[in-house]
Amino acid sequence: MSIPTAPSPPRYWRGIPQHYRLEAVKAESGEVMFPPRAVASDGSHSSELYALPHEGSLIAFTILHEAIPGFAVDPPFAVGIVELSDGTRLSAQITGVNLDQISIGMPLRYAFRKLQEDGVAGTIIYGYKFVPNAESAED
Amino acid sequence: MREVAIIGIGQTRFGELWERSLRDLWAEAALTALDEAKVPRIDAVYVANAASALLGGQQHLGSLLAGHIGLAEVPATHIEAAEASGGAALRQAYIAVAGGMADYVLVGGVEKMTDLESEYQGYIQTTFGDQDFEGFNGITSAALYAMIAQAYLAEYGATREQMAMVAVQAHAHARHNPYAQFTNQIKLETVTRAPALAEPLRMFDAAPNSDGAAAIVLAPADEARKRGLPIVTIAASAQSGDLLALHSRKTLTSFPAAVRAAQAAYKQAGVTCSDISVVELHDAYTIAALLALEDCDFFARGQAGAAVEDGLTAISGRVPMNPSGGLKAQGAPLGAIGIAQVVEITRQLRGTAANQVPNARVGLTHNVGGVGGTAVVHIMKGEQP
Repeated sequence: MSIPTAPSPPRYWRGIPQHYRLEAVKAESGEVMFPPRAVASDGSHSSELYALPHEGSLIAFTILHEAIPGFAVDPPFAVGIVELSDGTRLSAQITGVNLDQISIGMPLRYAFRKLQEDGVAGTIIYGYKFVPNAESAED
Repeated sequence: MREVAIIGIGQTRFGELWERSLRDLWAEAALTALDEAKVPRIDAVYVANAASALLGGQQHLGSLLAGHIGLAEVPATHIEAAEASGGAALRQAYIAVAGGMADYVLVGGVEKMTDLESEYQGYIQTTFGDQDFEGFNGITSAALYAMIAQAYLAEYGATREQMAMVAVQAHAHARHNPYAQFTNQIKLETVTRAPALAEPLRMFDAAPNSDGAAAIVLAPADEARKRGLPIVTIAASAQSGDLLALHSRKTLTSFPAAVRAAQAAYKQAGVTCSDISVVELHDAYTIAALLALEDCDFFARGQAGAAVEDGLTAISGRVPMNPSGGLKAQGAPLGAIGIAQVVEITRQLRGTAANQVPNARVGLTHNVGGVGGTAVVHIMKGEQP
């Protein structure tokens, strides 16, 4: 038995604002939520959309040697938790850099990349990855 | 609230049990527990299972599994909270008896993992995280625990070898456990030189995929005492939750849900961590055991690795941890984990465990779903007639 590991087309389409544009939600309290949540930590309900900054730095990472079937790159590849310049954190693949040159604190920026191939109904899945932010590194 | 006792336990061997089905495993554990409990009837059944829909294409487990053991008409409900399904189901069963809605309740956990091709096993654990924001990006359960391990080692200066000792101890503890998946003994180098999963974690840092089941029968403690036998009571049943995605939390080196559940359990039971004789902690990965030891307050932050290295979590140590071998060596059939932990603590408090902690009086179980989205802590007390 095999099971689909990619989202169905409608589920993928619904996620496009987040996965293509890093669209988060901001509560009245100022809390930024990514993934967006219906209710914030202080109980406030808010649906104000908020565009996340595209630059940040790496706060945790690992080199994956076993991956889920269907991903566009074969292991080993890097994944990490990125803290964006406004303090919001997200999880992403780290690419565009040799695996042995990835380090905590390295400056990163958003990149639009292919994540999965041959998903349900042949969909190709795109989303965000993070790459070294050369401009910032030269500062 | 009525006091609640455990009056029957059952467990299958854990492992790659190719010849046995979900129903077979459930029946063996449940019928063993019912045979021991000898209750006049069963008022409710709770089934803990984490992923049967994906692993075997089967849902509606309450009806299926109650019917399979002659209890087709009894209210039977499936509880799911990832790897914490067992702890969460036991808590629902406890609430039913403590609250007086039921007298005799069967709660069992079961998972049949080996019917799914192994390349999809990693995907199953990914479904316990935030699928749209972690799994979507290729981030597996091993990746999340690897980042936790990286942060822990960096923050506290703990060593890779201390983390690996958790696995070495797990295999040592499982050596004489007739239910264990792995009774072979391993060396430190077995762990540190194993194939990489997600750095710094390697294959022997991870609990295996397992088939298996465990079951418990609960009854009001007053009634259990009339039998004139040693009994085990549930002194505390506590659960807490957290945001599902690891990146949404402020800390990577603790599971706040586990801290909250442990503190609530200590308060309910009227004990502190120093009163606990034996623990079964959720060691899905070696690093998880270190977090668990600290989240349950047994050691100060950053000290658990040294404690394991110094033998403080061995059977003769101050905090005997996972005498069964834990998830790492006894095995980790997802939905059965939390029930099997309490089954082992019950054996310990009865004085009948294969790897017995001398004079065990009070035991604690710590069961985690995903990377701390759910945490359940139970405290049990042994009582002589």
